[in-house]
Amino acid sequence: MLATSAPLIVAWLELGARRAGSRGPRRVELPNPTSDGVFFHDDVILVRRAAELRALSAKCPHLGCRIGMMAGANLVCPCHGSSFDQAGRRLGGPASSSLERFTIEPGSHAETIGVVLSG
Amino acid sequence: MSSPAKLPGKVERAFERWNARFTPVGVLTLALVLVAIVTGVALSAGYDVSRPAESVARLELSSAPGRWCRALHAWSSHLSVALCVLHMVEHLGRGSEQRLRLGLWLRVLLTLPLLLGVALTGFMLRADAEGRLARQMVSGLLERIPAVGHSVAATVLGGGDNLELVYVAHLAILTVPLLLLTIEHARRTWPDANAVLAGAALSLLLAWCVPLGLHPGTSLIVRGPWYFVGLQAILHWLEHPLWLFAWALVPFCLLACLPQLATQWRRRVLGALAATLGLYAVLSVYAYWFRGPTWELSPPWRPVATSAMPPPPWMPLSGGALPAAEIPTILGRPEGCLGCHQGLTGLDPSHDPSTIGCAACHLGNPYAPDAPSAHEGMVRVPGNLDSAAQTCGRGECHGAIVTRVRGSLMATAVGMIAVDQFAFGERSSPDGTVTPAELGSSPADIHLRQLCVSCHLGTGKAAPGAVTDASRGGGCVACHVRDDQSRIPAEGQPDHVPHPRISADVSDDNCFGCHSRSGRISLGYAGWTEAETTPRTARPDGPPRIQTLADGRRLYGATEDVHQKKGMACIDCHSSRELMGDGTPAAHEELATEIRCTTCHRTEPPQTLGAEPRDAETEALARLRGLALDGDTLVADLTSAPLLNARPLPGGAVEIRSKRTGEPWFAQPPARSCSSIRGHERLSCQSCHTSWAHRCVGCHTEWDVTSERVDLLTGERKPGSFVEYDVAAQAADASLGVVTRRGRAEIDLVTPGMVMTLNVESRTAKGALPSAASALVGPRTRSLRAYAFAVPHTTTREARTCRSCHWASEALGYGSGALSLEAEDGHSRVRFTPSHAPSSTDGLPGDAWLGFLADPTTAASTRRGVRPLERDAQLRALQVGACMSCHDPEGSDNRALYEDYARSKANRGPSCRLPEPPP
Repeated sequence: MLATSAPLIVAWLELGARRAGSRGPRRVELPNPTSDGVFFHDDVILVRRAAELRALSAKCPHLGCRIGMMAGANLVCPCHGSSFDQAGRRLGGPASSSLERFTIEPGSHAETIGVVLSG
Repeated sequence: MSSPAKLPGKVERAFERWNARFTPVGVLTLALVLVAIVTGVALSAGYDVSRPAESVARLELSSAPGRWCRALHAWSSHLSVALCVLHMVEHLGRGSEQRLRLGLWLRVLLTLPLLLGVALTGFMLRADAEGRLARQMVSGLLERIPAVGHSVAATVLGGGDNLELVYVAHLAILTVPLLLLTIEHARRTWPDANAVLAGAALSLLLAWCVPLGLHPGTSLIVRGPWYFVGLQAILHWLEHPLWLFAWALVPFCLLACLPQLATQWRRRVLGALAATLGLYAVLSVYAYWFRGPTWELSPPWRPVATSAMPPPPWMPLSGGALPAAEIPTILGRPEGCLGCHQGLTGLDPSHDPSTIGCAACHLGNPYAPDAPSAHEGMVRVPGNLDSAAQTCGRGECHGAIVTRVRGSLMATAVGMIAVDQFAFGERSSPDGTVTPAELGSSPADIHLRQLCVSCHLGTGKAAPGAVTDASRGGGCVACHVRDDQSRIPAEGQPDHVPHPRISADVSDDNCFGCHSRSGRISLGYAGWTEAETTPRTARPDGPPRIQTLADGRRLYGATEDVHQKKGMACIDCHSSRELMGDGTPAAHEELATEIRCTTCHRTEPPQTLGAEPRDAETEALARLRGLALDGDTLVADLTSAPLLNARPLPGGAVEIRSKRTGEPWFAQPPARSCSSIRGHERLSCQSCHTSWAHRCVGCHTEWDVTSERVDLLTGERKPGSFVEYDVAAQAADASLGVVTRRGRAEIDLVTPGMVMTLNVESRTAKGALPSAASALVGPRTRSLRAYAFAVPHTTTREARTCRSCHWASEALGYGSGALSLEAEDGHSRVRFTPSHAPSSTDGLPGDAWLGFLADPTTAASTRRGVRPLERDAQLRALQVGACMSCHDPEGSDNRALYEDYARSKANRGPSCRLPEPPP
C-alpha cells in the first residue's frame, strides 16, 4: 500500500509545486519607470528614486496578499495591514519579515527592464 | 447516556415559536441552498472564467436581471451560512447530537465547512479586489502547511490568478458533497415550495435593501466575506498564520467529540464554544466597521475626505442598466463612469478619461450602475491632501511628489505656526515642528485656527471652483487646477461644461490667494500695496490703479517687480523642488528657497550640471513644458539640483526660458558698481534692488469673548474670537539687518513684521467663559517688537539711493523720524528725532526695532539669526551718510570717494568732521 502510494504522493507534491509556480526563478519584462514613484505590476513593485530603481516583491510575507496600494508614503498590505517603507523594510503589522527584493536586469528594449522573480 | 444540556429557556422558546409559526430554520436553510443553486446555474451563463472580473463587472453594470440574479445568489448563500449556524445552535441546545450515530454526526458537522467553502469560493469568483485578495489569502494560508502546502494550495485553488479550479470547486468539488450530505441529513424534512418561496423572498428583500456590489479597488479597506472577517482580524495579530488552523480545528474537534462527553463536560464545552462565538462576533464587528487601512481603530462615523460625496442614507439595488457598448474597458476594468459621463472635455492627454478613466482620480465605484451608488465615496476634488495618497498620489502616478508635498512647508506650515506661538510667548524660539493637525487650544493655537491656517495646502476644498484671490488650500489643485474654462459651456452644448484643466502651467493667480497675505510677496510682485500709493511706490507710467480684494482689502497700484514686468511667472524662478518640497524639512520659507539672485545674475561661474545623470522628474517636467534638454548644461540651484529652464551662456549671462510659454529672457551679470564699493561685500542683492516693502506697525490683536468665529481646521463655529485691529500699512523702504543663513552673515532686508500688542484677556468678558476659551483667561497683555526677514519681491533694475540706507532712520531700525547733524562742544554728532511717541512699555518709538545707536542684542526677530546692525556698524553707516550731506554720492565726481571710503576717510581734509558716538 505504502509502496504504491508513495510515488503518487511524490508526483502530487511535484505537480502541485510546479502549478503553484514555486520552484525556480522566472523573469518578467516590465516598463522602466521614467519618473520617480512607486509602480505596481502584479507580483512586482518598482520603486524609482532618481537614479535608483528597486524591484520588490508585491507578495506580503505574512500571507501572500498582493500589495497594490499605498497609505501615505508606505506600502500597506490590504489584507492584514502589514506596512513597509519604500525600501521594502517592515514597519509594522503581522508580517515577520521585509519585502523580498528582486534582481533587476537590462530589458530586451531600451524602455524595459527585466526583473528576476525568485521561486 | 447523560441528559443533554438545554438552551436557555428564552432562546429555546424563540426557536420553537419560529419553527411553529414559520418555516423551520433547518428547512429554510435548505431552501436557501436550493435558491443559491438555481440562481448560480442561471449566473453561470454570463460568467466568463477566463475574464472573471470583467464579466462580473459588466453584468453588474449593463444587465439589470443579471445584477438581481447575482444579488439573489449572494444573499441566499449568506443567509444559508447564517441559518446553518443557527440551526446548529438550535440542535446543540436540544442535544440532538446525542441521538445520532457518531458517523452521521461527523458528516452533519462537515456540512458547515463545506457550505463555508462553497460560499468562500463564490466570494473569490467575484474577482473584484476583495475576491482576489480572499483567494491570495487562502492560498497563502494553505501554502504555509509544512511539506504539502504548495500542493494542497495548487490542488484546491490552482496556480497564479487563474480561477478555473476555484470555479470547479464552487460548482462541483464542494457543492456535490454538500448536496449529498444535505440529502442524507434532511431526507425527512425536504423543503416544500412555500419554504423555497420564503427563502427566495427573504433573499430578494435583502438583495433589494442591501446591495452588495463589487469592491472597486480604490480603497485600502478590503474585507473578506462577513463570516471570515473575524478570522481576518485574528490574522492581523497573528504573526504565524498556521496557528489559525489550530484555532479553527479545536472547536471542530470539540464539537466532534460532543456526543461522547459527560453532561458536565458537555456543558463546559458548549459554554466555551458560545463564548468563542461571541468573541468572534465582536471581532467581526470591529473588523467590518471599526478599523482603518492599517487596522487602527476608525469608527464608521469618522469624517471622510473633505470633498467626498456623503453616502446616501439608503440605496436600494438599482433596476437600471447602462448600455454595454458604451462602457469602455480602461486599466483592465469596465469603467462604468463613462457610461454616463461621455464626451468629457477639458483634460490634458495625461489625464484623459479614455486612458485612465474617472475612478483613478475621483475614486467612487466604477462598477455601480446608478449615480448614487457610483458616487458613494467619490471625491470631488482629488487633490485635497486628505485623499491625495489614493488619488493624485497613487503609486504609479505622482506618489513620490505627494509624499514630498506632505512634508513641504506649504503643507506643514511649521514656520507660520512656530512664529505665531513665539509671538504669543508660548515658544522660546520662532522655529518649531508643530503642524496644523497638531494644533491644540492654547491662545496661539486658537489664533492660528481662527485666522491663519486656511493658508496651508492641507485646507481641503469642498468643491472645485475658479481660482480667485480668496482661494485657499486644496492640496494639489491649489496650484495645478485652473477652473477658468469650466465656467464656459462647450459650443453648441449648453449643458456640457468642460472638466477643470489640470496642468503644470501654474499661474501667479494660484499663488496669490495665500501669498498676498503676511509677507505679501504676491502683492509686491504684481505691483500692489495695501498702503495708499506714495511717490516712492507710484508707477511712473499709466493711471493710478485701485482694486478691492474679496476679503475687503483695498489695494493701490505700485511699482511691480522687474521680473513680473518682463513677463516672468513665480514658477519661472521657483522650482518644483522648492514649491513641492525636496524631502528635507524646512523651518521657514527662506530656508526652503533654493535659488538666489546670483543663481542667474552670476557673480562667478555658476554651478552647472551636465546632461547626465539627470533625475527623472526634471526630464519629465522638461518634456511636459516642451523644453528640450538634450545635451544641455543647466544651472544648478543651491542644492545642486538642475533648474531646467536656466542655461549658462558664454560671457556670463544665463538664458531663462518661460516654463509657461517658452519665451527666453537673458539674465545679465551684476553691474560693476555692485562689487566696486568696498564695504558692500556682505550686502545682498535685494538690499539695494528692492524698490519698496510693506511695513506693518502697531497692530493690535485681542480676544473678544462676545463674538464667535469659525475654526478653519474643523469648520465649526465656536464662541470667542480673536480680532485684529490694524493701523494703516505703509509702503516704504525696507530696513537693514544682519541675516545669518547657511552659516553666512549678510546685510539683508528686514521689515517691521510683528510690532504689535496682544491682549489675550477679554476686555468684554462678563460671566463664564466658554470652555474652549478658558485657557485664554488671565491678565496677559503682551507687547511684541519683532522685525522679520523680508523678501518683498519688488525688485528694480535701479538700486535704491545711498542716502536711503546711510541717512535714513528706518533703514537702521530706529523707525521713522529725522536725522540731523549737529555740532556739540566742538564735536559733530548725529541726532535722531522720532516721528512716533515713545512706547509706555519699552520707551522706544512705536515703529522702532531698537533705540538710536543702541546695542542690537536685545532686539527681537521672527527668525533666529536675524538682528540689527552692530552699534559700530550703525555709526559707520551714519558717518558715511553724514559725508553725503556735502559730497553727493550721485555726482559722478564723487563716486570714487565712496568706492574706497576708508581711504577717503583717512585722507579727508580738516573741514570734514565725522560724527562721533554720543558721549
